[in-house]
Amino acid sequence: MDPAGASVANVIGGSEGEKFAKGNIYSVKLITGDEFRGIVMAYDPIPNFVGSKPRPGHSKNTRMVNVSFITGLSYLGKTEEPLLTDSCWVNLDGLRAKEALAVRQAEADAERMGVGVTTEAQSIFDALSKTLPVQWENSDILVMKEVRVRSPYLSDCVFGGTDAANNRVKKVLELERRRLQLFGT
Amino acid sequence: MSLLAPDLYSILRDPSFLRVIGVDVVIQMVDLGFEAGMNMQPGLPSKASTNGSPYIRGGEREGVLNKAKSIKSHPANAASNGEAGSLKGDSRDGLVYLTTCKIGHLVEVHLKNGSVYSGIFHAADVEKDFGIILKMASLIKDGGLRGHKARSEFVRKPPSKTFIIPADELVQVIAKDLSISSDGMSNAVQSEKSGELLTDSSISKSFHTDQGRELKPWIPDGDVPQGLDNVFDDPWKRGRGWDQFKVNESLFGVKSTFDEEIYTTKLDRGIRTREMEERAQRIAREIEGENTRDLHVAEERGFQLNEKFDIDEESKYSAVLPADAFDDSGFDEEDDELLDTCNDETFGGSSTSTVQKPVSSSGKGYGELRDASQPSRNNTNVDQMCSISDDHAQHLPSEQRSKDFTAPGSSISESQMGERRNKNNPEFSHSNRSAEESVSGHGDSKEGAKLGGGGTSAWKTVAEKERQVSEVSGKPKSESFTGQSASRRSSESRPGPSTSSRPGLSPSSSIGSLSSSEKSTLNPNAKEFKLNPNAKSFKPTAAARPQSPMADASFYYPAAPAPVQQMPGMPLGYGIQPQYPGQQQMIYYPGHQHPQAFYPPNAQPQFPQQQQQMMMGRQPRPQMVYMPPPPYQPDNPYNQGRE
Repeated sequence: MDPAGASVANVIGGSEGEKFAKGNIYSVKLITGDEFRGIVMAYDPIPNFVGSKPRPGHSKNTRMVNVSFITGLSYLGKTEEPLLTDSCWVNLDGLRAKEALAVRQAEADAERMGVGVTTEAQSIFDALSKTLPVQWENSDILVMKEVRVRSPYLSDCVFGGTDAANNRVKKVLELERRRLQLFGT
Repeated sequence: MSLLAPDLYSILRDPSFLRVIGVDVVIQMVDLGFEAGMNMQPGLPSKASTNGSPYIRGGEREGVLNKAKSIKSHPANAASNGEAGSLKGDSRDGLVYLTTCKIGHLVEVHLKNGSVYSGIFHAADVEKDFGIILKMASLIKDGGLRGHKARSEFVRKPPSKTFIIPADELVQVIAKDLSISSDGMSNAVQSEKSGELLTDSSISKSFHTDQGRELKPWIPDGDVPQGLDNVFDDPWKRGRGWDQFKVNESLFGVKSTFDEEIYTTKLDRGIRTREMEERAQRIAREIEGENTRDLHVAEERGFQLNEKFDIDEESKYSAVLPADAFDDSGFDEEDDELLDTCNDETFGGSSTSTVQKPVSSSGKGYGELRDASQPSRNNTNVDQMCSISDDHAQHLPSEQRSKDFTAPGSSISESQMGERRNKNNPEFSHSNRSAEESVSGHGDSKEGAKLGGGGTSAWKTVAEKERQVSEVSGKPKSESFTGQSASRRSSESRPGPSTSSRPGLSPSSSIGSLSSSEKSTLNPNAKEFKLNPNAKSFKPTAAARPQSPMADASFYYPAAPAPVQQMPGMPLGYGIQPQYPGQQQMIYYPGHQHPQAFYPPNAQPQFPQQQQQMMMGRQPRPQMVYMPPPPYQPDNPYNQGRE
């Protein structure tokens, strides 16, 4: 846990209190190469994190940045202290609900992701799922619980199911492949 | 932070420990740590973190929230934490607040090695070093690998159910489109709505607007003209407080030519203004307070008129009249006006159409001619009638009406009249259908006598030919008769359907008008009556008895018995005979040769009526009407001889 391990350049002099004072506008450069500008909203030297929000007019991307990893910092100006006041309050129940919802959605999405499959396979899966009920079974795509599409997911890799279902899946697969080739996913 | 502390505390204490790929990470979930306080979960295998950074092995099971193994390092700060007076506390507050706002939000986490993970923000170690926990995190960009793998080869990995990132690897956490406002409610509410139930307003709402922000009164900068505060309060002050034209002129040099009096009535603001105002107010109040039975006025006044709640919007506001809206009682008045308005159009308009009715084929043409010969006389009747009706708008129709309904001795119903008209129509229909239809285009809604209109139009064309007709009456007669009979025969079928189709429809095109023909005998489509001084007066003969008035019109004209006898179709007329009485309304006019006296503007019925009248003028006539003519015995006079 040695923050010093990162290449840090604390370029700004002055006391800690002045640096990252609320309302300051900085242009920040990170060691990851990321650059952004933001207004300081909060800063805590102990964890050494600063929370900033970008200049108004841009989309609200709130960031929490580990100061230790800031490679470049330039002071741009100062505005009024942003929205934070002592009267802030957070609705925790709402947040919990939000999180639960998000997790549910993410899990549902995860179901759709194949494990250890190529991107191509995934895009085929996604395309098929638009019109057919599909699910992953290891690296096979199981359509309508009957028809199985094996790697490499070509038309001749379609097995199982009734003739009608099989043909339908083959057809859809063909079309989707063609479309993917055409549009490059 | 007081509100924040206890709950956030519990959240932050809710870690799930996971085996992160290759990394055993220890996160010490702590409370805010503002003050020492209670000890949370006894029996935890951990110890307080006061001494540094205790390490705990996390649970091995993926995706399992392992509360039991959670570390409660610091005693929780259950009490309100009002005095976090240090700067540290303040700044910490800010961070903690920000962090809390992120809970549940999809964030992007950049790591030191360049990897980028995306997941749902779950928790953060705010006390220590801000390590964070993500749920359902998945690798977006793998910084660990040199170069970039080909996309297709990039093998997906399932998202980690819980992903812990230590602070020293954490470069930044980006929460996109997260609205940070003083009101924490917005965060939760927004996401809730977006997830569960998408209302239109929430969909269209911009995520960047702060919901329910605190409103502050506007304070002018200072370069705002004074005296504007109460400009709109008192309308009378308009002239004195703020004059936009003066300001415009001074600012921009724009000269205005506005004069209020162009747009509105000049108010007489004299001495008695107040009196007048009060009077006006009083009158207004009276009017508004009046009882109203109108649904719409009542609604405007906020007044529920109808207790019946089965009146839906359609019946309230629709402009379409309901099917049963036809009101006989009010028909007279409407009819009169309608007549007057319709007369000119129909009569005037029909003339043009009739011009295109050339007498084409001989038989047909003659039929027309003959048909018209009588009708032409009636035509003049009609025309004159109409012109008269224009003058005496109210009288004639009412007269007509009374006649219609009080025809003595006749139990003729309107249907019969209509039938008659129907009958008339077919006669002409095949000969001048186009005229009829063009006439019907005049939109006769009340009058059923489109037939009459059609008839009259035909009549008008041949009115000019009337002379010729009369002149050639001799020869064409025979032909005409045959033609007539033929036409009659052909038309025989018509009466059938027409009679049967009553009361509602007729074979003619003017269905709508016919349906209302029961109600009125007036024919808005009838052509304007023009007196034809050359019209030969009708001289009925003994056997003159038209079964269909139109067809037989010509018969009566020459008033020769012979032709009449040559109407073998006569018996067929019996079926129609009953119609005749319907025409009896005219019978009270003394038999006269001049149609002028024939006031009723209805051309159609008038024609037969006139005949009727002619015949009825003498008592013996009626009987003759209803009696079938003697069978044709061309050599009748010789019969006796044989005898």
